[in-house]
Order: sequence, then C-alpha cells, then structure tokens
Amino acid sequence: MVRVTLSGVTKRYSGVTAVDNVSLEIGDGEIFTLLGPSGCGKTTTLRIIAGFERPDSGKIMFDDEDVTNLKPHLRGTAMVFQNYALWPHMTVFDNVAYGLKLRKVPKGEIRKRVKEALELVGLSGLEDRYPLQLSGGQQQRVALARAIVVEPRVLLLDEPLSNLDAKLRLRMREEIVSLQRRLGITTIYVTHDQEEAMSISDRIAVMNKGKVLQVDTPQGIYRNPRSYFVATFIGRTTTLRGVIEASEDGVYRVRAGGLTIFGISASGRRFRQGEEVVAVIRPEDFTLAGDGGVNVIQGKVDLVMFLGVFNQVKLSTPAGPITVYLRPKFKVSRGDQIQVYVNPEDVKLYSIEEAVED
Amino acid sequence: MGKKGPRAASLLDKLPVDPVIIVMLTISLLIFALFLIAPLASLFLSPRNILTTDLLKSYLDYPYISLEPIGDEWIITLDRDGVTHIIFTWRNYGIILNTIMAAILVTIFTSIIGVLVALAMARYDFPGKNILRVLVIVPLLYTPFVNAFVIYKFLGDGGIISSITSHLGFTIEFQDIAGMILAQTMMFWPIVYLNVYSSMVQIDPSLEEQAENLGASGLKLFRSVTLPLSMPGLASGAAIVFIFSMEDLAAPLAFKVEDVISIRIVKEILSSATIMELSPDTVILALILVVTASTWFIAIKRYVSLRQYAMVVRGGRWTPRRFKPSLLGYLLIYLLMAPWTLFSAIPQFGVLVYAFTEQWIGVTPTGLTLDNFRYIFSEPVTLTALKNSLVYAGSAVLVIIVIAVSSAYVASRVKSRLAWLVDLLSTIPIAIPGLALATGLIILYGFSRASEVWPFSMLNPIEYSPALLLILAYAVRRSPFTTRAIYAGLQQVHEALEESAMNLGASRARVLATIVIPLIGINIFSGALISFVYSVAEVSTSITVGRIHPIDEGYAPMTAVMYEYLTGGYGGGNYIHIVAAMATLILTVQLLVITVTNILLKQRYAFIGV
Ligand SMILES: Nc1ncnc2c1ncn2[C@@H]1O[C@H](COP(=O)(O)OP(=O)(O)OP(=O)(O)O)[C@@H](O)[C@H]1O
Ligand SMILES: [Mg+2]
Repeated sequence: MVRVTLSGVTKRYSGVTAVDNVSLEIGDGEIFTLLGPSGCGKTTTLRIIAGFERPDSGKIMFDDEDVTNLKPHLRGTAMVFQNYALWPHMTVFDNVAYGLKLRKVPKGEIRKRVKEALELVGLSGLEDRYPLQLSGGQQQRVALARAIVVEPRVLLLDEPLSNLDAKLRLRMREEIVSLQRRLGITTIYVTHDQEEAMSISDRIAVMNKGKVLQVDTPQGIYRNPRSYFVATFIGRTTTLRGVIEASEDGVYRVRAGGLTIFGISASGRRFRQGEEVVAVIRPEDFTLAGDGGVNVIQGKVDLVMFLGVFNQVKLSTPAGPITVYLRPKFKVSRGDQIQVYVNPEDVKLYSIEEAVED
Repeated sequence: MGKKGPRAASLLDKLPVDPVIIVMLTISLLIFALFLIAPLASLFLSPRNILTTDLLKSYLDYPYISLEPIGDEWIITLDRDGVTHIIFTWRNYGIILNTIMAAILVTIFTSIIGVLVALAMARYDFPGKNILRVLVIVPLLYTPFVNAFVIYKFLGDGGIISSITSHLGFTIEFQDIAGMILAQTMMFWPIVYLNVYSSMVQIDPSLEEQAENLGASGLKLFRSVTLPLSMPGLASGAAIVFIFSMEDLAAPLAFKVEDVISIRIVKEILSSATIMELSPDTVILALILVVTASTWFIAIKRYVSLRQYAMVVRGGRWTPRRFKPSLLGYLLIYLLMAPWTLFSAIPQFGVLVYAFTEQWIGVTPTGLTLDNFRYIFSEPVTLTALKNSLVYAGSAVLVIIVIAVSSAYVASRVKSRLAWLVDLLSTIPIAIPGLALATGLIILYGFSRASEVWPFSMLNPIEYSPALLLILAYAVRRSPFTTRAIYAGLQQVHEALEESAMNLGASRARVLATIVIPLIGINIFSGALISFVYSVAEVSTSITVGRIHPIDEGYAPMTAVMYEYLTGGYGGGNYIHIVAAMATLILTVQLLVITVTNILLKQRYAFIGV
C-alpha cells in the first residue's frame, strides 16, 4: 500500500475556490476521513487524488512518486462513488470482474477473487443479477467489492453510506472498518456525517470552504478543537459571548452576560483584556454542583428531554440559554433551579471574529 | 362520506371517461385503422390469390434475386493520357438482394460515422466545434431528390471531383448502386449521429470515471462502457437509416439505378394505374418492404426499451466529461471529420447553386438568375402543384392536430393497454415505408371491393381527385412529429394542475380547454409547423397516389411534379434548375420552421428517432 501526500493543492472553478491550499499526509494503511459541510470541497479533493481533476497548483504524491499529472487509469486507486456508478449493462459479476480483466488476471483466478470479494461483502449468490435488480444497500456493497477486489493502492470512498437507511448504515460502517483492517489498504473516506467520521477514522481532516482546518485523531478533534468552526461543527455545544476581564496561567476570566466564567484559549492564541470572545462548552462537560465556587452556573430548567444515556436539560441563565447532559439518576424537572459546574479546561475560548465569520 | 368515496373517484379520474376525449380518440384510432392498418393489411389480402408457390419461386430468380451476380465492385483503368480511372460500381444481385444489401451497408457506414462523430462532439472540446454542430444538421434538411442529383454531379459520371483530380492523374466515379450507397450514407449519417449523441450526453459521467478509475482508457473504455450505454441511440438511429435507405428514391434516381425495390414499385404503380390493377410484383415488393422494415423496427424498439437505463443511475454531481483531444485526435477531427461533415453538407448548398443559375455543366455554374423561381410562379403546372401542396399539407395539419392532441393526452395521462396502443400508433408511421403504404392505399381505395362502397368510393384516387386520400396519408405519416411535441409538453404540465381544477368541479373537457391546451399551445403550434413542412416535402404517396392522374390535370402536389420533371422530360434542358428552385422553396420554409420551433420549444433539432 502507499502513503498519500498532498502539498499546497488548490483547485478553482469559475468564481469558487473549491480546494484552497490543502496539504495532507495520509499514512500507509490508515483510514483517513475528510469531514465537512456540503460544498466544502471534499469530493473535489477526492477527485484530485483519483486524477479526475487536475489541481491548479500543488502536488500529489503516492509514496515518493509524483502522480499530479498521472492519468486516472494509471493511478491504481479505486473509488466508490457517491452514487455507486454501477454499470447497468453488466451483471454483478461483470461489474466486480471489470478491474481484474483490465489487469489481465487469468480467468480462473478472476472467478475466484470475485467470489471472495462478494463473500466478503455478503453478496454471494447474486453474481448474475443486474444492478437494477438490487436494493440500495446491495448496490453499495457491489461498488465496494468492485473497488477492493483489485487490491488498489488507495481506496477512495465518497459518502458511500449516504443513500442507506440508518440501520444499514451502522452495519456497513462496521463492515468497512473490519474489511479495511483486514486488507490494510490506505483508505480516504469522505463524509459530512461527524458521527460516522468519529467512529471509523484513524484521523480526520475537518474542512470548510475549501480549507483544511484541523487534522487530528477523532479524540483530538473532539477534545481539542482548535477553531470555532471545528468546535461547533462536531458534537453539540453551548456558545456564550463574553469579554476578557483578566488572565492568569493561561486561564482567562470572562464576563458573559450576568456571569463570570473561566476558560482557556483553544487555538493557542493569547487574548487581551477587554477583547470579545466566544466560549464553547460541550453539554456532557457539565456536572451538578453545590452552591458557590468557580464556574458554577445557576439556572432555571426550561426543558428536559430523555435521550437514553443522558437527559438533555435546557437551562436559562443570566448569560443565555445553555444545554447540559445529566445522568438520568439526577431527577430534575421543569421549573427547578439547579447549579452546574464546568471545569475551566473544558471551556474553550475563541475570538469573536472567528465566530462571526461563520 | 363513505369510505369508498375518494378511492372510486380517483380510479374513475384515471380513465378517459370524458366524452370529448373519447370522441377525439375514436376519430384518431379510426384514421389509423382506415389509412394505416387497413391498407397495409390489404397488401397481405390482395384480391388475386397471388401467393402461389410457382409465383413465389419465380421471385427466387432474376431479376428479383440473382445468386450469380453480374458485374464488378470496382474497375480501375488507365487511359492513353496516363490518367487512372477509379470506378466504384455494383454487382447486380437482383432487386431484392440489392435493396437489402445496400440498406445494410448504408446502415453500417452511417453507424460507424455517426458514432465516431457523436463521440468527438460529446466528449471533446475543440475550436470550430460549434460550426460543425450546425453543419452536421445540414444533410437532414429536406430537399427532395435534388440533393442526390448534386452528389451525382460531384461524384457521378464526369463529376466535378474527377474534373479536378484528373489534373493530378486520376478520376473517381461512383456508378449505380455504389453511388446510391454513397449518396445515402451522406444523406442519412446525421440521423445516427443525433440519436447516439443524445444517448451519450445522458450517460452519467461517473460510469465512465469509474471505469477509468479501475484502469480503463481509450478504446477499452469506449468498448466496455460508452458504446454499450449508447446502444439505445445507435439502435434507434440505425433502424431508421435502414428503413429510409430501403424506401429512398432520390439516390437511386440520381444514380440511374433500376434494380431496387423503391424504384420498381413507383414504376409499376404508375404503369398499373392505366390497366386498372396492380401487378403481383408491386404487391410482393411492397410486402417485402413492410415486413422487413416493421420487423426491424419492432425488434429495435424492444431492444431499446430493455436498455433504457441511462436515466437510472443518477445522483452526485453532474459534470459533463469534456476533454482536449490528443494530437491524433486533432488530426482525426480536422483531417477526417471536419472535411467529411463539410462534404456531406455540399448537396444542400449545391441545390441552391442549381436554383439560382441557368446552367451547371462542367465545374462552374453560369448565369446567375431568378428565372427558375419566376418559372415556378408562372407555369400553370408548377404553380398549381405549389398551391396543391399548401392546401393538402394545411388540411393534413388540421387532422394531425386532432390525432396528436388526443393520442398524446391519452398516452401521457391514461395508464392502460389502450395508451400503449396509442403510443405505438403514434411512433410506428415513421417506420412504415411510405411506398408500401401508398401501394396499400391504391389497392384498398382504388381497386378493392371496398372502393365501391360509399363513402369509401369517394376516396377512389383513380376515379376522383386523389386529394382526400393524400391529405389523410400525410396526416397518418406526419402525425408523429406533432404527437411527440405535444407529449413532451404534457410531461411538463403537472397532473395536479388538472386534478385541482377537476377537484373544483370542472369537467375534463373544460380542464382540457381552459388549462391543458393553453399550457401546451406552443407545443401544438410547433408540432403542427413541423408536420406541415414534412407534409409539403412528403415523397412516397405524393409521387404515387398523387401522380395517378397526369400532372397537367392539376391534382399533383409539388414533390410529384418535381419527380415528373426529373424523369419525364418537362421543363426543357434546365429541368434540374427548376426542380432545385422548388426544393429551395421547401428548404426556406423548413429553415423558418426550425428557427421558430427552436425558439419556441428551446430544443435542438432532433425529431428523427424511434
Ligand atoms: N465542476 C465544477 N464546476 C464548478 N464548480 C464546482 C465544480 N465542482 C465543484 N464545484 C464547487 O466547488 C465547491 C466544492 O464542491 P465539492 O463537490 O467538492 O463539495 P463537497 O464537499 O463534496 O460537497 P457535498 O457534501 O455536497 O458532496 C462547491 O462550491 C461546488 O459548487
Ligand atoms: Mg461530495
């Protein structure tokens, strides 16, 4: 397999910069995910790696080979398109065998490998069907089998699960991961579903407006979002606007509405006194607290929703509404006055410009 | 307020229960039955019991089928001045085999050319593409007969091209059926092109990208993905070319071909009319035309409907695949495709040259003039023919509107067997060879016992004017153009618009008059215009039914008179120039119609397809 490196890749279409100076290093055998909202340039990046689009500037390397100008059919990647792109005039068998035939694999071996690939995706026995005779989930698995059967240098998956129902999506997600682990193919996965990205990836690149904002492990992205966009794009968050009052040892005191809270700078940049900031807090970082103390916020319960593991509780506080997750064993109900605590480490501060830009 | 209320009502809504639609539909079906099905059936049930085995056997011999063909495919000779003469000609396999073999060859040639040009136009961007896009359509402009004569003028005996190349030491001449094949290839290839092109641009780009991604490129990619997915277009185009080739009269006339079915039928019909019956030959030949054409058509239609999958795989972004050609690609485009496209447009321009000149002997035409047009408007025979054509085509259009509105409405709004039948009837006229239909019409309404029964006796083209029969024949043959335009319009009109009006208490007739027809008025108008032009340009029934009476009796339409001028010694020495002037009039009307309909329907010129 192979290491994929993008350096300074930019692609413009009339008016839009679809991919903006993107540099990535994707390790051998890694599942690497491009995550971002619709239109942020994920597909374009993938198509550049596959060779369907020529970047306006920048370089793409597979290991030490510069493939920037290599034609798609010579790159040895295998892509699963968002719409599967199964050939309607070929049977399942012929679809899957296509790449092997091109590689001049002997007939007997083709039969064997196609059979194995279909077994792997759980489609044995459907060899003679045409794509139109398959369900969405089956089509998706044919597309996957067709890609892995050629043992590509890089596997490219463009929102391969987006057309499936929720249950099938969960199952296919696991199958893709276990398959990838077994084969060890360098895999680049595109999705706009953050939960999907969190669950399958070794590392994630969060993109917005053509730019890569952060590359990290799922935990890293979740725990240490280095920008306001990443912090709010991933997971649920409460945001509070405030003004810096003082700082000490990297901990800032922020005046937000009628409250004083302590937090840290997540991007590593220092704030000046009087600077406007936004504090971002995840709902599960709150706990019930006793009276008084630092970062204890008092509020009135507006709404309680049962989510299973947590109760989602909406509080109205002097700084505005906040959302907290509480264990169901803590019984709260509408109208209660309660107090919650959040560790200053978990209050991430970003400059107001970042938030407004969004 | 019962439970069954809404359900029963919606079921009824689905049926064309409205009297207006039923009346219109009955009229349409009646017209098809009487002027399409019955005449074709009467070919099979011809009164004389002609299909005796002895007679059938005689068709297996010369002049019908000859298994010991005479002649050569080509001749190369060197004359005394050192000039090499290359002559392409034809081994005579007999009328039936000649026709079928030529049709197959024309189909193969047009398919190859059509597919290659479609590929270049659909997948590559190159300077001059827009000019080619327009030029490609030129051969499809209808200039009855004359365009083939221009091809003969260039590549026939003593042709212009030979006059030029003789200075280089060689000449090229096409004779007989070889010339006919060349001419038909030049005239018909854009039909394949248009159909394949529209298939190709509908292919989801990711299907080709996926193949490339897995390692396919070039020819392999084309053969395994692009071509198979373009097959519906190729099949439709090829089917039509095959049928057009079999019933074409222009090319065989220009290259003086005698031994093909179309020419035979026309000659036989016109000699039979005087002796009051049709010879068995005519009927057999017409039968062969119908059976071959409709078998081919139905097979293709099945094939195509089984492979309409281009639309199914959708989703994702739709970026059309357009590439810069490679060096070889540029060479092929500019050295082969562009010259060929230009070359096959020459005939239409040649028609204009004939029309506006006095003489065209040798290479350069002489005597720029408008006399040919003056002649048309002053000579009684041509002037009457012009008026006849306008009247016949105009009347046909009125009938066509009734047929087209009712069949398109039923086909798009009613889901039943009946709708399927209507749909078939509204496309099949394109595939029925006009000469076979004409033969059937003459048998049925001229000679059969039915022709003695009122009201059918009034249609007898031998006893009375052929006008009525011609109008109805035009209507049947040219209705598909309007039906399709209206059908396309109805697809845009959401059924909910009608349902909400009916929900407010309007009857279906009222909905039709106040909602549907105003919304598709443009489609009706454009479709009618197209049908009108193609009725004026109609050849097969015009030169048979329309020429039963000598043309100076004043019944013949324009194309019949054109045919007579080209074959019968009218018009003196410059008869081609007069015919070309008539063709130019038809051409002008066509260009107007195409412009108007393109503006109104915002669609490209692509009316010819299965
Ligand atoms: N061929 C093209 N021509 C013009 N603009 C394009 C083209 N392809 C992409 N774009 C633009 O580039 C931007 C990025 O598109 P891209 O398809 O890469 O987004 P994406 O992240 O895959 O979105 P989605 O999640 O909706 O699939 C978009 O603004 C899009 O409109
Ligand atoms: Mg995308």
